[in-house]
Amino acid sequence: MKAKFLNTGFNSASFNFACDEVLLDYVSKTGIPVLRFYGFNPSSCTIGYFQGMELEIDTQKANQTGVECVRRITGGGAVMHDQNQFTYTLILPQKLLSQNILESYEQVCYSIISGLKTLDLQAEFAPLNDIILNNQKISGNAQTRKKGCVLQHGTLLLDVDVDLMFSLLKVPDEKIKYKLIQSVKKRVTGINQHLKNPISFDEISRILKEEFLKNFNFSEFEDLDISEFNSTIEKLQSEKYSCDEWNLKY
Amino acid sequence: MEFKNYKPENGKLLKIFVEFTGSKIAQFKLRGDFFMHPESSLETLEEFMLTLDVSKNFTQSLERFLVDNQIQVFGFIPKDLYDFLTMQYEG
Repeated sequence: MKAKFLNTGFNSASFNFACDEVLLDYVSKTGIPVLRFYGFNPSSCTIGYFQGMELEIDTQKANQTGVECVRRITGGGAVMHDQNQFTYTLILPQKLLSQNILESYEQVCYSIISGLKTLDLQAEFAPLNDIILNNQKISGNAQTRKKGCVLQHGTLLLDVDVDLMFSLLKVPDEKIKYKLIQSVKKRVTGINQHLKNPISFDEISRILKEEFLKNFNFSEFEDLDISEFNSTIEKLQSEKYSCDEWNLKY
Repeated sequence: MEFKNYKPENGKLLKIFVEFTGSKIAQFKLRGDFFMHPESSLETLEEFMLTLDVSKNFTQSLERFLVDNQIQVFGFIPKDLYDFLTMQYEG
């Protein structure tokens, strides 16, 4: 089975999530899987669907520093996105993935893990939705199931600006205590800290594209031209993901 | 509206606002980094919680509600909510 691929480069969070939603419609209508690689610029805070914006993010500080704050369509926790991350979205008809949600997370994350193995990084899946390296989180993933499709997106940290990350995210003591981590800063790491030579966004993209192709038995990736969706993405970006009605929903 | 944090063992971080009338739940809002499929079930769950009494079959009623409505939750189980709400109710 062929799949579509696109690399949309670095864009705002509101653009990226509008793009995800438009591509979800595309997969729902065509039945053709889509893999998208992308990044965030400007830096953004995204919160899980069920989170309260003001409960999670110091929005005043975010506004002062030009950080966009956007609600995702997926659950999970708040994430600070900067330009030192690689992000993917995989959208598939539900029948191509395990109907068991826990298993399907692992199925998708396996492509990241196997890609990191080619770099001699022994990462592991940490249920429900994380990938860890040496017990530190390197990747968070989140999934939704709509319109007969599964959409999973996730972030792989290449480098981490921990100070920026935790200056904007409100992290409660309970979470830290529970995970028996003495410092918030020790909970996450970027893969470049574990590599002799830092890897670029383009290089990790090349590796992971190959892994997704192999692990999902796609015969090939055909490029998907984003320009045909531009007006729909712009509309959704301005009417949903840039609006308080959505972002401050909870 | 004051949300209280609760981290169940092996669960996700929950942020809960609750008020009681006696042992009945009078107001309930649930936030957090859990997953719920379908996502639109949160409002239905919050509404259903207002029919519950922490002293009367709370966990079983909530379990049945989730099954009947085909709601899958990852990050907490009904007993986690019971534990938290009981703590709040008993003060």
